[in-house]
Amino acid sequence: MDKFMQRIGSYPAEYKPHIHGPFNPAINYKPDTPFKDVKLGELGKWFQRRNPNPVPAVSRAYWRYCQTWLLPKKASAAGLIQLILGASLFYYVMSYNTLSEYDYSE
Amino acid sequence: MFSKAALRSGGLKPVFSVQLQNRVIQCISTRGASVSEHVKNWNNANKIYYGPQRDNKNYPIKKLPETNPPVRHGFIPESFFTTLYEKTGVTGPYVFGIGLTTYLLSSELWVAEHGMIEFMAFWLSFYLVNKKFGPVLANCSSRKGGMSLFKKPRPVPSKQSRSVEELIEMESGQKLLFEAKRENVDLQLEFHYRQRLADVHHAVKRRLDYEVDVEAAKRRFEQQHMVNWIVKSVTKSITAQQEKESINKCIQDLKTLAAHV
Repeated sequence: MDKFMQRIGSYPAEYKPHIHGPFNPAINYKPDTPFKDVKLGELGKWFQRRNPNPVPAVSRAYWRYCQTWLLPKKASAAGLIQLILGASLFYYVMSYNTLSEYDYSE
Repeated sequence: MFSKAALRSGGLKPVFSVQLQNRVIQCISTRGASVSEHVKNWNNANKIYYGPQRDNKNYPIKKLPETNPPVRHGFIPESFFTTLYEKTGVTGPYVFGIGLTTYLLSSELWVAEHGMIEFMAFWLSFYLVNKKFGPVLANCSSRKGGMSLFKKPRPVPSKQSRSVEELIEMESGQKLLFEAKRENVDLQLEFHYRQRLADVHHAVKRRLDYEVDVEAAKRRFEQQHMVNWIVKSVTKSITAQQEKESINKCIQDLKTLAAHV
């Protein structure tokens, strides 16, 4: 538990400042073949190589999304629209069980 | 990149620039730290980040793009269409989108309940607000001294001073300008003078017309009154005796006329 707490707020273990330069949270510092290039037979091995903890991947995706869509100086509303659409989809899926029992005759 | 953004966003603190090893660095002066200390810190940072082991090829400094990637219909990335284009052609993505929506609706995975109205109303209002206030917001963020997290340093003017000839030329131009302005003022004065003359003429004419009209009305009224009075008094002065006589006279006249015929 102590070890886990220590890792919160610290850089990923793969990040080496003298090689990678200033830290960018959107970059994966442990590069592997991209998911779309992985062959079906090697998918198991690929997943074994990956960090089973989803938090770093989600964090990286979040930062990549922000840097691509929200943070540019002249960003349009596209990023915001995607965010809201994603959120509404997420909450829709969450509440699908109650919604699917919707009775039109009421 | 984010360290830079973080540095610049600390806009309230004084920021100073230091040139080190052909690299300009901006840093925030924190309380109690001298410039030399900062220089030392930045030297250390440079040693760590830009040392000989630095892999600039695979890990270059990522710059924040100016705009987001191109999109279609406001939010769908262009890359989605280009990837589908190779396999399905131009209409592919649209057929996919419409087909997916139809499938979701018909299979009631997307239930058409009350929330759907909210969904539509929200996006309609979002569209309207974006259309109305989007350009305003865009201008606001790029305005000088506005909400600029990425404010660039002011460019150094290339021409520091003007030559004397240029100044003399400007002086003569000033004279011409003054003359033109004076002429303009004269024209304006002339205009106002003429306008007032016309006003006075108009006002006097109106008053005179009024006097004439009053006189004419008075005369007309007097005449009418006179005529009425005379006619009234004449008809009043005729007595019953006179009337009888005149009628008799008329009958007699008629009789003589009949005898003649």
